[in-house]
Amino acid sequence: MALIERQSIVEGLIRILGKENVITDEQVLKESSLDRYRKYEQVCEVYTQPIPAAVVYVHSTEEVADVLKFANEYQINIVPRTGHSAIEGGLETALENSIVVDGSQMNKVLKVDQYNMQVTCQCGVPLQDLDDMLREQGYTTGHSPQSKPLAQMGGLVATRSIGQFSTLYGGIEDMVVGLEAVFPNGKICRIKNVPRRSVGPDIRNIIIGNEGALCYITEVTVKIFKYRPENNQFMGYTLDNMKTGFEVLREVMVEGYKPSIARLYDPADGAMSFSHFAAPGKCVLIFTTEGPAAIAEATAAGIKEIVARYDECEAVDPKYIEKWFSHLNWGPEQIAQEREEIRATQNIGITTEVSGCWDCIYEIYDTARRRIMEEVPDITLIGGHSSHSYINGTNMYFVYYYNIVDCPPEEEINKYHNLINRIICEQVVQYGGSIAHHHGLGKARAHYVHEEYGSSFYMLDTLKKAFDPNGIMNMGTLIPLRK
Amino acid sequence: MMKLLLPFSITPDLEALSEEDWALQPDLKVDTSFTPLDWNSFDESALEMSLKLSDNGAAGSFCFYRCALTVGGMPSDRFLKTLAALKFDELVRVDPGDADLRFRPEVVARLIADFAQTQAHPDFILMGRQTQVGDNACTPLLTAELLGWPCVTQVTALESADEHRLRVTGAVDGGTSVQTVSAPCVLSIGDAPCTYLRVPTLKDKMAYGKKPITLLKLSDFPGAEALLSSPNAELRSLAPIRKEREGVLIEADTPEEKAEILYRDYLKGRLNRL
Amino acid sequence: MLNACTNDYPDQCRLLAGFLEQRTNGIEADTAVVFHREEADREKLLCAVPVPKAVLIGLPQARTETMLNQLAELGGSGETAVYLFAGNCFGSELAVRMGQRCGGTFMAAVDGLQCAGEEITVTKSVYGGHMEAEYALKKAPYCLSVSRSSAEPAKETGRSAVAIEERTVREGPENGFSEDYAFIPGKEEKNLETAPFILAAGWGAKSREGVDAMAQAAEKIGAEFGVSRPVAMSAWAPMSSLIGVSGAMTKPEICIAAGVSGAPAFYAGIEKSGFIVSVNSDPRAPIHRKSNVVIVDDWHKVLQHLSEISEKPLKATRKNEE
Repeated sequence: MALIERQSIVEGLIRILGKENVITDEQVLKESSLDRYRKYEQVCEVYTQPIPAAVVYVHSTEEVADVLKFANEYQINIVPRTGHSAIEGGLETALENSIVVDGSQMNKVLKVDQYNMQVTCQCGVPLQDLDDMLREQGYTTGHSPQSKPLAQMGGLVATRSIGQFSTLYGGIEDMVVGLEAVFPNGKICRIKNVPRRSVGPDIRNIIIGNEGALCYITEVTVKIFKYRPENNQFMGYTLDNMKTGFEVLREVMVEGYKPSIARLYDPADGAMSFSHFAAPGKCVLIFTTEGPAAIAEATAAGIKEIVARYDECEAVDPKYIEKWFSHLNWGPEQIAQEREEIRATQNIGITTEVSGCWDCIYEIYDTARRRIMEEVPDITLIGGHSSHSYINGTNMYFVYYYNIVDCPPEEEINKYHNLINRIICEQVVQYGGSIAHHHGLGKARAHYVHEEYGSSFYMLDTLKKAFDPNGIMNMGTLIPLRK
Repeated sequence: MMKLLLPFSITPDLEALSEEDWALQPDLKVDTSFTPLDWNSFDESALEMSLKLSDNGAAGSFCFYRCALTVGGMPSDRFLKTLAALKFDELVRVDPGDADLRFRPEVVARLIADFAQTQAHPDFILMGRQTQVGDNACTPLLTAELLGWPCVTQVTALESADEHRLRVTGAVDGGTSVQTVSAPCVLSIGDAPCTYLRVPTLKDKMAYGKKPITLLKLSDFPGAEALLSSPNAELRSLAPIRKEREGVLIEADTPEEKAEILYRDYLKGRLNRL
Repeated sequence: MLNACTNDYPDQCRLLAGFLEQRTNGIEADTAVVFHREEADREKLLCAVPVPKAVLIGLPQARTETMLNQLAELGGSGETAVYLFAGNCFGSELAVRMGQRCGGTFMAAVDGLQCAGEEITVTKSVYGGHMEAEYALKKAPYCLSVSRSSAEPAKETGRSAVAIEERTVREGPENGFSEDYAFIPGKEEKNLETAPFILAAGWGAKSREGVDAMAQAAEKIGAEFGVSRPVAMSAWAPMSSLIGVSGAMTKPEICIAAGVSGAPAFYAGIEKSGFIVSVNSDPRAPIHRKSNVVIVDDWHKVLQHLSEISEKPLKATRKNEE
């Protein structure tokens, strides 16, 4: 708990950043106390989390260092934030009088290095802006999460995000070349940009995915790739069984193909996007390939050959997939519309993403889905898709909707959302998968950190104690608060 | 018990189409088959308003029988199943086959009227005022005429007055009308706020969603089919409407600078001339 | 075909006068049918009529079912005639029902009307405003309502008509289905349709608070405030501020569209603007291509700053007008 009062915290921050960069407007503070994990509370404007002391806008690495030193001295909880698109509670201010340090105004692209194929930018650069700018020059980050219109570079790296073309380009951890981050004692660390090195552990990975619990990311350098959308190939299939779908995905990966998208939807999830061409009860399998024309074509041909071995798979007109592909992302308009629909219908949709090796992913999918149907009240839809495949396994993105019935906003999270999360985590742990594939543990799933890490929790715990001895960095995220 | 007939239509999401998608097929058709389908928003309001009649307090205890009717292909079944799960009592789909009904509201209205007279025998017919594709804005009006029933248009709110009558609010020129309406009557639903269709639970989908859909063909409605060959208004051509302006992009680093450029270079002079 | 029972009567006259002048070819309009309340001032009614002759029909109450019976009688005479209605609630309902009842041809929201020899053709927008359709009309009488976005309403309707027939109608059993009928006049019309400067908000406003903030910005910069259909349907703003085919058809000198995506049904309501500015953080929003000037950014910040820098001069301008 902070050693000084709320008022003194605000005064100290104003001394460091100036009045205009320290926001204490009540509505801003309330909205900054949570993220989309508490979507229903957000929609109902009911705020159950401690309200932060201030939201501050930082403009330089030095300012971040000064704020962190101040917070470290007085043991004030810091919640680092950029695009505010988190959905696992990572941005909740779990302790009284927290400071939300918003880096969205550190939004300069510092260097586009076309020769070395890397781009350096500050933490608040919106991914959409960066990628749009690169595409105009014939390049792309290759990173395209659904949150692209909202998310910013610092947050994307902090949560170990992944994009929709990951099967080709990898997750953000495969793209980050170098970084700059600030630790709670004000120490600024830079990791240089090199193709690879063998100089001890890869310390980039202390920063990537730290979820703001170890340090504040101020600058990132990521790889760039040639952008050649004219070479894109699209393939779609309908089939009866998820099991078959996983087999196809596995074979494509094992044979060594690198499609940019490899997705498998179950009938319930698929019906939301594909009911205009997939009959009820059908699963949908989608592949896209990209890159140099010869590779895109050869990859597509190889995949078609594999799918052709499965009689169950029926090809659909690729134009369906191309149309779907051009409307992949979520922006502010969709969020506004969703919020209104939730208000009107009291029906809310949430997702939970997990991963598992090929030998257990189907069981994870099937048992979790069955349990949710049986154990959770008022469910209107439970389904899921696999959207990121690897040579040894894939992810499962559970999608579920429920009606909120006879339940005040502050109880919704326990009556429904956490109950579903618990079922999914239990099934994942039972079968040996991972409980979080790309949204981060946040605070929503931090309670499962021991089951997730097992004996290696020692390493995470040691990192936390070493880098954040006073416990000021996004407390409750990664490692749950002691009650 | 009050019997309600709810004719509804399903529409492709036209805003999802890109510019090249508006290129015309030879038979004056636009290919919307690659676009996801959704409820026609006016019909969605009608369906939700019919359910809301059962929601409210004592008036909610009145008994309703809801029959949903749509004219369309297989993809419409998914929407009918949703209505089944929402405990609609009867679900009917009329397959139009190859008939192009986009601009033929008189055929659809005849079909609805015949269905009402020979099979559904409803007290009230509730339907949206228009669809997006045909933009005809005729079907409910024609249905009323064919049945010889009165019609209340631009309906924005409904409640039960008693077991047999509805309290109907509608937009009229210069204001709003409120009246207690006796059966039979056609209610054409207009811009009714907050009428997203509710979502059935999985349990209800399993318990009620398998209710069979009555499948009929256009030829089951000879009166309607006979109208097909000789339209009073014959479609001659279709052409995309383009409404482009120059779209000069104001470029600057901050929104404040952009606002300043907008004001200085584009608004100030124009505002002074107002 | 005019309805003088409602206070939009002058607008109907101006719209139909504008339509006849700008959007018809080979058509000579000679007679108007004017429904009016029994107590209405005949002279005033005739003044606004945009054609030489008028039939006046007095009614005890402005009820469509009653009017329709009268129309059926008129249309049943077997004459080859075109009956034009304005595209308000009255016109879009009665054109269709009259056409059907008289066994003729009906069409709602017509944009243009041509008569060449024996053939009558009309154009109208379909596919949610994405396409224009042309129809050949086959069977008289032709009962058409005019799209409110088709023609520039005439400034003056010009002549004063001569009444060639007057009748008074008693209410018959046609309204027996309806009891306790009450008309609640709308609140003082916001002057969206005549405002010279409009700020229009779309889904991009994100919330009721966002819409309120935009409305305040509009007030500061001296603009009338309107919203798109999704905003009004979410009850973030009253239905009376709705712009587009189901709301106000505006024609300001300047329109700022903020957080608007640009669906045709909305755009139809602002397309007659002299100058359109779009502010939307989505660079791919279709509205940008239909605007004169484009800002891709957060509308909140842009409008906030705009209201700060433009507040003073605007207030001065308004004072001068007063």
